[in-house]
Amino acid sequence: MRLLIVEDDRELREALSALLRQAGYEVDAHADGRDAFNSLLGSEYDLAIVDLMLPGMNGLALVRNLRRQLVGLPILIITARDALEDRVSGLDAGADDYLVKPFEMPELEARVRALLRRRRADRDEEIRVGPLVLVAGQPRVTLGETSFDLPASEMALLETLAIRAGRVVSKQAIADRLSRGGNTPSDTAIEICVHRLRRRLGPYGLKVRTLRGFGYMLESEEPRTSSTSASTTSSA
Amino acid sequence: MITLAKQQRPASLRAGLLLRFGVVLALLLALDALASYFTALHFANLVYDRWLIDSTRSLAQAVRSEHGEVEFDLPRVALEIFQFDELDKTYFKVSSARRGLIGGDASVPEFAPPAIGGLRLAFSSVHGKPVRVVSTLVAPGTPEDPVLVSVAETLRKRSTLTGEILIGMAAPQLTLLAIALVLSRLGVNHGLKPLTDLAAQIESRGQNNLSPVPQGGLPREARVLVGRINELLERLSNAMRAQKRFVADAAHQLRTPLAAVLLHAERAERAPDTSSEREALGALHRSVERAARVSGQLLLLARTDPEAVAAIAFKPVDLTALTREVGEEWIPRAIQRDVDFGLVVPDHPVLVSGDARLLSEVLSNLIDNALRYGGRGGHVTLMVEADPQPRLSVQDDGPGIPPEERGLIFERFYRVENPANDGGDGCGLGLSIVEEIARLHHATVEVTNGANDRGSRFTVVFKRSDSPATAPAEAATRRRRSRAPDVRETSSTSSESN
Repeated sequence: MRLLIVEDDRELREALSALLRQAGYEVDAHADGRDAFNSLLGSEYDLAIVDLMLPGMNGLALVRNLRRQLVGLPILIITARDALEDRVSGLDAGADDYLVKPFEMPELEARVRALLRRRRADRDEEIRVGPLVLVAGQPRVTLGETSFDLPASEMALLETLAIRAGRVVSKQAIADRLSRGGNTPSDTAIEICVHRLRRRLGPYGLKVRTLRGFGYMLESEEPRTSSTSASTTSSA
Repeated sequence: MITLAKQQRPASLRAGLLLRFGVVLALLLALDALASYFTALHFANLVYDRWLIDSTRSLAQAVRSEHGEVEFDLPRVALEIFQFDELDKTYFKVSSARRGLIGGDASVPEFAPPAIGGLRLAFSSVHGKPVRVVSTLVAPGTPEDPVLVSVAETLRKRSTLTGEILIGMAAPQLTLLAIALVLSRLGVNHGLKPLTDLAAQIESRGQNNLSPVPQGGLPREARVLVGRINELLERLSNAMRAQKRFVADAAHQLRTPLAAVLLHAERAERAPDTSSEREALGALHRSVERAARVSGQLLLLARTDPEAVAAIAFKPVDLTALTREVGEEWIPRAIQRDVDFGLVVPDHPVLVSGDARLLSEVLSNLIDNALRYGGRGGHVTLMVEADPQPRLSVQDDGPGIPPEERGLIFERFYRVENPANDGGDGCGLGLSIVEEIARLHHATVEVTNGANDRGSRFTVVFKRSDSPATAPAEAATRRRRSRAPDVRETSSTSSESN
C-alpha cells in the first residue's frame, strides 16, 4: 500500500511519515502541493493525505485537480481549520474524509484503513479485517484457516460492516443495503441477521458491537495499535 | 470603526462656511451697487437734462418773427457763452419745414415734439459721437410753419459722472465685503472652537485612555457626535477588557500543561531503563493531548466572546443529524472507556436556528464531560427531543453533581472534584463554552439528575425555531423505517466488550 502525504509543516510531515511507515505502509511525502500533484500523476498511489493549507498549490485546488485527473484515488484531508464550511468545501472539492488537527494517530490509521478498504471494495479486490477476508459481491468468506459461503443477507451485512470496519454503520444504512425489491427488512430481521453473524465471527476474534441508537460496528479484537491489519492488507 | 464615505482630501468646515458666506455676501453687494448706480445715473441725467432743456428754451427765445419772416438772431458772444463747456461739445440747430436750416449745425438730428411748445428728449449721435438731444417746437410767426429748435450735447460729463459714481459705490462696498469676511471668519472660528478644543483634548489623551469624552460645554450638534464616540469607546473598552482577561486566562491555562510536557520530556530523556522511559513517554503523550485540547477550547472561547457573535451565521440546523454525526466521532473514546454509549433521537429532523460548528462543540463538550465524569462501565446517552421545545441532552449515570455545586460548574476553570475522572486533565472550560454558545443561540442549559436519579443530565433547551417544523412526509422519506423515539435498543455493549 503506497501513500502520499502533502504537508508543509516539516515536523508533522516527518512524524506522520515515520508512523505510517512503522504501520507497514510505503510512504512518500511532499511539502509542496505542485510537487505532490506531479508525483501523484506520475506513479500509482493508493491514498493521498492532503493538508489544506499548502504552498505551491492550495490544498483545495489540489484536491479538485486530483479528483478530476485521478477519479478513484481516495483523498484524506487534514486541516487546522475546523470551521464546518472548510470541512464541507473540502468534501465538496472531492475529498473522501477529513481529520482536524490535532488528531490522534489511531484515528488517522482507522480512517486510512477504512478508505483503503473502500477502494479495494470498489475494485472488487479482497477486503481484510483481522482474520476475515472477503471479496465484495462474492459469497465466499475466509476466516483464518477456514473458508465457507454465507447466505446472501448475512454476506451483504458483513460486507457493509467490513468496508466500514472500526466505524459505526447505522441501522438505516444496513436496512438500505439489505432491502430487496422495495422490501425493507424489519428491525427484528436485522437483529437476527446480526445475531447469526456474531455466532459465526465470534470464535475468530471478530466482534459486531451494538451501539444503542447509532448502529453496529465490526471490530477485530487484535490490539488497535498493532499494525496487523495494515500489514496484512499491504501484503495482499 | 468610523470610515469616511469619501477618502479624498477632507473638506474644511471653516473654509466651506466662509466660502458660502462670502459668495452670498458678494452677490448681495453687487446687486446693491448696481441698484445704487442706476438710481444715481437717473438723477444725474435728470439734472443735466434740465440744464439742456433750459438751454433749448433760451435758444427758442431767440427765434423771432419780423414782418412775417422768422429770424434767428443771437449775438455771437451769447452763442459762445452758450457753447462754452470744458468737457462737452454743444451743437444746436434751428430749422423749419418751409425755410430749412435757419441757424446752427445741420448735422444735429431732429426729433420733432408732437405739439408747439412741447419738448422731446433722445439719445443720438452727432459726427459719430453719442449725444443727448433736446428739441422744442416754437411758432413765432405763422403757426403753419413752426420752427424746430434742437440742442445736442456730447455725453462726457455724464459718463465721467457714471465712472465716479461707480468708483464711489464700489470702494465702500468692497471694504464692506472685506470687513464682513473678516468678521464672519472670526465668528466661524469662535463657533468651531468647541470642536477644535475637543480635537485637541482627544489628541492629548493617552493611548489606553478609553474613558468617555466629557460633553459639558459642547453645542448640541457636537454633543450627538461625542455621544456616539463615547458609545464606541465603551464597546471598545469592554472588548479590550474581555480580551485582556481572556489572554491572562489563556496564558495560565496553556503554560500549565506545557510545563508538564517539558517535565515529562525531561523525565523520558533521563530515564534509566526502557520501562520508565515508556512510562514517561505515556505521561508526555497525555500532557500534550491536554495542551492540544486546552488550546482548542481557548480558541473556541475566543470565538464565542460577545464581540464575535456578529460573525456567527445562523442557519437551520438539524439536531437529529448533528447529534448522530458528533456522537459517532466519540464512539472510539466511549469504547476505550468501556462506556455504554447510546443515542435516542426522533425519526425526523429537529430544526433549530444556529451555527452547526458551535452546536457540535456544545455536544462534544457535554459528551466529553459525561465520559470523563460518568466513570468506567457507565451509561452515557445522547437525546434529542422535538416537543415542547427542541432539546438536546447528554445523560450519564456517574456520581452526579451535588446541587450546591450546580451554580458553579459554568464558571470558567471550575472543576468538580471527582475520582472517576481518572486523567484529571479537564481544563474547566468545557461548560462555560457550552453556556456561552447556548446563550448565543438564545438557549438555556439545565442541569438535572440523570435517569433513575443517578448521575447528571445536561439539557440544552432551544427556543422553537420560527421556520415551520419539517413536514412529516419529508421526515418519512428521509428515514423510511420509523422507530418510536422513546424505545431504546437493548444495551449489549458492556456485556460484550469484555
